[in-house]
Amino acid sequence: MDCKYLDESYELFLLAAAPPDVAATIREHVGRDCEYCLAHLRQAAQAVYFLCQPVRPIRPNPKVKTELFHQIHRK
Amino acid sequence: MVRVARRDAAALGELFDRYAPQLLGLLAEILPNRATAEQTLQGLFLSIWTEATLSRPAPSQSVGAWLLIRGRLAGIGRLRSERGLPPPPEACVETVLKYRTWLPQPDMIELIDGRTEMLRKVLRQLPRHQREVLDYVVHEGCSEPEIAQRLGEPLARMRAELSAGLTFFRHRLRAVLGTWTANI
Repeated sequence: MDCKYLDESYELFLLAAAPPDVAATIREHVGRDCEYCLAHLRQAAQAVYFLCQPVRPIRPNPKVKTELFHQIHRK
Repeated sequence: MVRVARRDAAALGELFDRYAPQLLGLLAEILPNRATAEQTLQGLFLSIWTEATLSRPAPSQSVGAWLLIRGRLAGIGRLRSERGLPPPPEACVETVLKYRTWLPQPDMIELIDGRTEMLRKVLRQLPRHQREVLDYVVHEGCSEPEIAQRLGEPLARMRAELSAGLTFFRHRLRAVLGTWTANI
């Protein structure tokens, strides 16, 4: 199948901002390992990764990690 | 991630130490206050721990990209819930959570990490309006119609701005990561 018409949608898909019909199409193509879509999604993921980079990393309060470990030990 | 899947809590701790500051930085940009951002961060790592035996990135897939993109989805999901907006499209969220085949290789992500300043410069080259539209998508999880409504613009015009911004950035990113150079 020619998926070229989706070229401008892969970043928006990973950003969960693609229109519903486009999102459903890409999900279906990923589900059946469409090589074109997966290759373009891998490229798009690089762009999205950068766009998600924070301006400034923030070290969490140590309590966050402590509470996380309390929770996993309770599970 | 293999160690996390084997229920090695120390490995989860190492993962947390390495990635939590970047994730919290992003969540703090998305969510209204630090307490909510930290709760979301904690929930993210808890879900990673819970799911690790079932699915995780392979060694040829970037854990950093997986965490950051998942973390953003968790953040915008929380933000939209607090604002009484519908959740992000299920097709997108489900695919990101369920599949790993879309993940880039770790070396590509390391390349991006090494060229962050150059890429920030690229983003600053975008016209202000395109940056603004992109910011609505990335940091507020807005759909195209929502952005058009907030800006009071026709949907087609807003889509054109978003598309132009993403196309510019996509091409420049390939230039920065690829073998050819652009006048950046």
